[in-house]
Amino acid sequence: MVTGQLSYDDKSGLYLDGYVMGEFAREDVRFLGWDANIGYARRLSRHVSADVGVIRRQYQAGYDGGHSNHYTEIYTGVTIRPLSMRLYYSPDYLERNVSTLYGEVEGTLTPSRNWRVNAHVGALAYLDTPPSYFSSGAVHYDWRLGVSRLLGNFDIHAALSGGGPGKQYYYGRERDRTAVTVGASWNF
Amino acid sequence: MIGRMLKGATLALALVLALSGFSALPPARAAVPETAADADPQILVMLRIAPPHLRSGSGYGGSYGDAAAVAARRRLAKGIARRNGLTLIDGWPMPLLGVDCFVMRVPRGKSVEQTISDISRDANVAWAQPLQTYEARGSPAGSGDPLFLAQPAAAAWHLADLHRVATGRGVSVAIIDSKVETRHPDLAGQFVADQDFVSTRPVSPEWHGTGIAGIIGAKADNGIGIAGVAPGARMMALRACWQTSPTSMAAPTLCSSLTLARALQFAIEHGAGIINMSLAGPADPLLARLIGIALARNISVVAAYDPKLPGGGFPASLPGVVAATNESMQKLPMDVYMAPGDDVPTTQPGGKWALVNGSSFAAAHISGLIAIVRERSQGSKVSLARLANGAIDACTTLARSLPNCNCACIMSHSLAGNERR
Repeated sequence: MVTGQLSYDDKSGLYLDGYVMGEFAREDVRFLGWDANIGYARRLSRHVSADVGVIRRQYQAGYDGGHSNHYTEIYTGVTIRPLSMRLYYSPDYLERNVSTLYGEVEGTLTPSRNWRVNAHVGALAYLDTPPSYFSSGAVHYDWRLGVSRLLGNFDIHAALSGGGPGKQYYYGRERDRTAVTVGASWNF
Repeated sequence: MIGRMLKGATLALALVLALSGFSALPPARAAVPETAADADPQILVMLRIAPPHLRSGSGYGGSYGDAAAVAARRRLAKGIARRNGLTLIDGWPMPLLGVDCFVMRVPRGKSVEQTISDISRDANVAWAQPLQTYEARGSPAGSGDPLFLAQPAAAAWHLADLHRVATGRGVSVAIIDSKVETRHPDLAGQFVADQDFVSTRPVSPEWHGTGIAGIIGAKADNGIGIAGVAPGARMMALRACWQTSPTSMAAPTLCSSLTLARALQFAIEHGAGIINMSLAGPADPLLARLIGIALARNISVVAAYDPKLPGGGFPASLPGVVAATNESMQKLPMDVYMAPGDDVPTTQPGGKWALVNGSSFAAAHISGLIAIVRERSQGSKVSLARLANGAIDACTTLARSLPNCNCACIMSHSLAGNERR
């Protein structure tokens, strides 16, 4: 998996962010999708900041013959160091007219100058009848625990993540949602 | 499944830890000048840290947007340094202030004020300022012994002035007490004898004797602890007493007629000039005879005075014995002398120091004073000077041993012409 991110923070508080994903598959390199968001952030006090914005996520078909997915979210959040909390509303979550509300709480600890420990929990609630293929209920949750180490302009990270309820179904069978991810980033 | 998860998590963490041992870039140079030559002025440049906000992709594999922002600010700092002819030395985030602080060296010949003014015009710079130096405002201990100024005798007896005249060199002081820690860092090398008249088995050092020895003869100007009243004297550590509890300092230190007699005999036969007996008890004919011999040989005997015992206790009640107390009494007997004995810092077992109280330690002070007087009086009988309230006048006591000298001449430090021929 390879990703790229470009960010711009203006001193007025306005920010722009773009993100692309691709994968090295067995036969080729495949472009998987992109995110883009624009928002405004402001410090309210020494320890408290708030931001608001809109993000658009676009995912390509996961397999030949499949179809792409996309959705838009409006979000607002507050950071009270070291925690940040954010609420997202989407009117078209992966399908037209499917509205959702997603809430997340994330915390980052800095035990030393170059180390970060990060934890995340989130819950997604469907505000109306879930799409027919979601048989497991109207609320889904996810979690992640990660660690990263800064090495000059590089950042190496690893995370354990999972979610529920129940398992995911793809490639013909049910699969556990828990995953381990390891990555490295070059920042410039 | 759980096993595979744990295995995966372990491998991931191991990879992070292994790679963290590899540093892709050399460490930042120190921001503080290491030598006088490395003294080019340095400035601090504060770059604004954007308020925390959502970053795209932050939900995948961990939040690494923070690293991108750190790298971006470092890139900006390098650019600022390059454009202004500076050297980027180090950076440190100050999230409380919402800035990233970078240290930059200004080359010699370049104006620091002008550099700060130029950099401050950059839109990304919150502010810039000189890296300034501050100096701690504490004074080191004057005499080279950190606890010297806490010693009551330092002020009450002007001990530093007395030491310019005499330190007890050539005088031997016998300490008849519990086990002294003769290897204490503040006492090592100060002893000519170390005898045990209580037991033939090795014992651990005990607090009472160790404290007495420190007050009398702890080394001076050795950079640690205290300075004894007579740091030039040599001591005999004669164990005639024992601590009744190895763990509790509150437990009494006891001695017997026999152990004391054996120690007294040793001290007399081995040329002690002063015998310190910081103890009190009932009159004893054996000890009285031995003390009488000591006094007849012009050996000064100093003992602790206990007002709760008849006559102040034995041996303090013996004629000729110098009785010492730390207590200020309304009516102090004429032959009892008051000396420092409250909250006195002194040596303790284990290489330590502690505060002690009691007439035992007043006696130790007087023994030390007699030792420094004896250095100058060359064996003549010591006459202790006493203030109206019974306190020892140490300065006048010492001055009496010098011809044509009073306390003022000791304080003036000009003794060369007044020394005894």
